[in-house]
Amino acid sequence: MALHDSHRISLKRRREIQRVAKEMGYVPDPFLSGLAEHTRGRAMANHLGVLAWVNHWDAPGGLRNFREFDAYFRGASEAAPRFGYRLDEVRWERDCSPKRLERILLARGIDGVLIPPHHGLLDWKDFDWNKFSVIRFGMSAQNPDSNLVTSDVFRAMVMAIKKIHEYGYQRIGFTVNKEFNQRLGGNFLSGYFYAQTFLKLKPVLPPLLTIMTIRDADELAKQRAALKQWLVRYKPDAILTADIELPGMIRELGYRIPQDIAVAGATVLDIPVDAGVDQRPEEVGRIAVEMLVKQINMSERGKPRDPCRILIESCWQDGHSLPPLK
Amino acid sequence: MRITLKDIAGKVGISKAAVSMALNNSPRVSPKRRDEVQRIAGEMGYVPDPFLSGLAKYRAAKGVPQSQGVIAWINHWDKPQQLRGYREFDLYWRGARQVAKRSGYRLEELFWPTDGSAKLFELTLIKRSVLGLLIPPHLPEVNWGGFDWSKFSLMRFGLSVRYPDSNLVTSDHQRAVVMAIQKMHEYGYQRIGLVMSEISDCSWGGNYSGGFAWAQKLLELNSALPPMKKNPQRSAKGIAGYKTALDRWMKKYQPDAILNYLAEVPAYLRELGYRIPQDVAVAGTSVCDIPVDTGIDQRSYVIGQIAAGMLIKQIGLNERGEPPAPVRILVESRWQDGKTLPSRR
Repeated sequence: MALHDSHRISLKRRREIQRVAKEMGYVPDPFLSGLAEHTRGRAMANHLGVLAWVNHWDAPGGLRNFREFDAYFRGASEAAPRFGYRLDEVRWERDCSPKRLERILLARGIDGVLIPPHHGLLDWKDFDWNKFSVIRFGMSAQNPDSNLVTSDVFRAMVMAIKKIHEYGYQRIGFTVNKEFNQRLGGNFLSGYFYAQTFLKLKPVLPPLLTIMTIRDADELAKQRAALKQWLVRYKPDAILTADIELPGMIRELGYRIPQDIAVAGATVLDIPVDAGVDQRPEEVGRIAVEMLVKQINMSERGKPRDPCRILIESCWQDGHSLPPLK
Repeated sequence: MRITLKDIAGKVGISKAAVSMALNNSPRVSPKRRDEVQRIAGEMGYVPDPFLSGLAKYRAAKGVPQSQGVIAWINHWDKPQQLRGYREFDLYWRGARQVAKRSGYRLEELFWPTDGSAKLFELTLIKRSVLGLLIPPHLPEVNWGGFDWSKFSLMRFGLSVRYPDSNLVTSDHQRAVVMAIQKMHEYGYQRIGLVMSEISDCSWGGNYSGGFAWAQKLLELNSALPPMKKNPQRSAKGIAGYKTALDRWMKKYQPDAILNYLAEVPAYLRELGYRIPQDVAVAGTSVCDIPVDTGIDQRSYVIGQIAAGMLIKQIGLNERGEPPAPVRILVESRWQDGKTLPSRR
């Protein structure tokens, strides 16, 4: 355990054992490590290790009301036993300090932590990440700076625009929340702009950048007006959208979907149209668990020196809201 | 010329004793310092001297057998020595080797001659107890024959090798371009252009030109310059044609700074009479293999480290062959300052 930096042995003792091992020429034997993991896995079938899905949402039930995030959880919790783990949702209440959460997780014998999407910055304060392996999902949880598992939005955009074009649409538009796109590094628009160039689309429609959260009737009216103006000016025959409200707004303006304008979602689960990009959230969940287990196996704890983004390919889903024109 | 502790000490600016402690993971050295020294040692190609290492002496005396797992870096290039002649790819190798060693694995470069049979190469790997393969960049038309990938854990570098459809590690091009354009804008450049080849941009999925287009929108660059995307040529006539097109683009759009992907472009610009950076500042999309000192550091050594680390983790879970859902592992790039694109502020 000392050689794997287990926190169950004091730091001083760990260092001592590691120093002596080193002097004696101990080199981790990969076959033995593999065997140990294997037997640990077998033994674990009856005593599952535990991974925590930490939920710090203001309204914790709200997280899994988004079908996409719920699918993350299902994918993750179904995959965990295959590796000898159980996935527990741990609600981090508003009045609970990060240190107290840390103690709770330790008491429950948690080896690894999954952090699903959260709005805004999570304040971990003095939470000691060195005691856990950790991985984030989706792009909105911005800290800790761990490895991140998410879908490949850029490639999904190129794939979707290409599909819509293949289906015979000529005037293809795209809408996304301005702030959302920017916060996620601009992958939505980068992919959209590239697709337009790559497919040599004519005409080239500028994207409609929408307001993030519509707080009152005034903002709602402004958004509707901007949408109407964009629709009238550019006359798209098909729209790919990352906005949940968009299909509703288009119908309110009097357009029928798909007869007047076809609409596809940049994520089919939470945007109320049936055609579009399937970001495969269960797969995202499964791979997040796989990566986390791999980190645990290598005793990789705390914030990695070089965090990476691990991207999963999306696929297209056909639907009535965007039928092929040919 | 062997790299010594003295060389490393000189480069880092600390004593030889401190270097030795850092390389031996002594708790007396801070983790930050330790990582820095190990990274620099790896990049410099440092290999511990077996005759000086007490550890090796001990092993030799005791006859401890070396049962190490093996990872193979497979080289199927027409001219295999050219692969690691590219600094970027050589850094992949060095980073991978450092992590392999640290984890108790041996990393070997195994050559697969272009006319050699796939089956024979497979047998070679199996005989050498190879558990996993690192697949460095190859030309897209590389011919793997009937090689059976399912016998090994797999990890690809970069986007050039289309198949096997394994997990891959690469730098995050889109974010790197956005970061670079923002930096150039911060440094006071107003007319920022992108020079790259259409073929390469397309073959890498459009992350460069897509990221560039987004960065222009983000920064609301009034003078959104269209990228120069002509494919470079090898023939004398082709080169002349390219230079003419480059000159025409320069005169029409008058960039004050360029983010450039092509190794030959800085020389062409000078030949056309542009001084770098006085007439046009130039940053490279990679600080390896492009002869400018400013630009995007794709952190190829780290990419190598992560590729080996991920491959070892896959081996640990006995994951072999093409996975059902291959992932792309993207490593963040960093900006490197230099003389070819000084700050104007």
